[in-house]
Amino acid sequence: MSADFDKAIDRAVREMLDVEPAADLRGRVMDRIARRGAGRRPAWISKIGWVAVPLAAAAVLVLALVLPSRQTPQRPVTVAHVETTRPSVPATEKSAAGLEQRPSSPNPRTRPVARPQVPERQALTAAAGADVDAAGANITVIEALAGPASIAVGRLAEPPAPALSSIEPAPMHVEALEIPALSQTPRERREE
Amino acid sequence: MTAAELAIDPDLELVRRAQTGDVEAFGDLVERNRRAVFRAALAAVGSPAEADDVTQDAFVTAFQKLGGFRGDSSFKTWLLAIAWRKAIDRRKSVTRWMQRLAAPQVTESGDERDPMQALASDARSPEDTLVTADLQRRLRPLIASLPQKLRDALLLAGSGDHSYEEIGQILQIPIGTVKWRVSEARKVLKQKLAAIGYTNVR
Repeated sequence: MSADFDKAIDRAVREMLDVEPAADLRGRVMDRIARRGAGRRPAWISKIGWVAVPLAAAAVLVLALVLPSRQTPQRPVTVAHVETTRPSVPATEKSAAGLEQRPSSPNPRTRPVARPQVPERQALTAAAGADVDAAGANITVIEALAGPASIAVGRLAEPPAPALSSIEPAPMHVEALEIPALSQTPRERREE
Repeated sequence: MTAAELAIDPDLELVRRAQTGDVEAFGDLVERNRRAVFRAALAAVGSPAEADDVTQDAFVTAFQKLGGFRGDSSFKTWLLAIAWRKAIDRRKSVTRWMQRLAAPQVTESGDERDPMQALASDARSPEDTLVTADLQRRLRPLIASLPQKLRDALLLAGSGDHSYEEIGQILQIPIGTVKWRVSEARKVLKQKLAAIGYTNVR
């Protein structure tokens, strides 16, 4: 009887699934494929896109990082030379305070600057301080600094190892303690 | 392509042609496999109309992914795995549940009907050779009420379209688990038949 039930189950399952797919299934599938194919780019374009887009993004990123550092002009730095009025200090006081008078020879790199550089000068002047007299300020042009020379660091010579015999401790000398004998008993000391 | 490869997978030649852009070759693959795909989908979703949708989707997806088919399994198994995933997604889809809530199928007695139960009762009348028509009539709703895992395995195995090995690859479970689930489904059905009065059920 169990075998009969198994057969009955198999029959029931087959009947539940005994539905034929639609005859036009192939046609509908092919239509959908054709419609998708018409609206889609060829596969090789999509594949190139997957490679090209990240590469282009990486290239733009590299250019954005490299170009500004390369294209920054090594223009001379213009600094406002600010003349301020300081209280005059007598020469005697200067020498007493340890201050030395600077030589008054003109700086060879200092030259007057023409008027068109006024806006830049104004900006620098504002940064320099409020007591700058813009009309009378001189402009000092500092040439661009060269890059630092490479620094070579020599290998440090290792100090010679100390001889083991030299680390022997010096002989100890203990002073003799002199302890005087007590002449009184503890009770006598307390009573005293 | 060797004769041995063709013996293992008779679809392989059509697959290779379709991979080179031969759309007609893919049409032939649709024709050869449409019944197996449709029945697998039907086993999962229970409704012929939804199984039809799932079958279409599965073939279109298979065409799009055909370049990735390397022949590790047969084309039919690969295709059935795609169809099964789509059918399970359909079965789980919230939309479907919303549709069922919005327009529930109502029986003459006023009860909501599960699509699988509807399929069971709408099937053709059985040819009664070994068992009675009454047993057949009672079995179909019992199958429909089985736990999904047991029911899936039983329906795929009982359809006669798939081997246990194929079912294991479709469901992504070991072949031993497939056999256990089929056996367990039969056991549960027999228990239910015994509970409703069928004697000599072992």
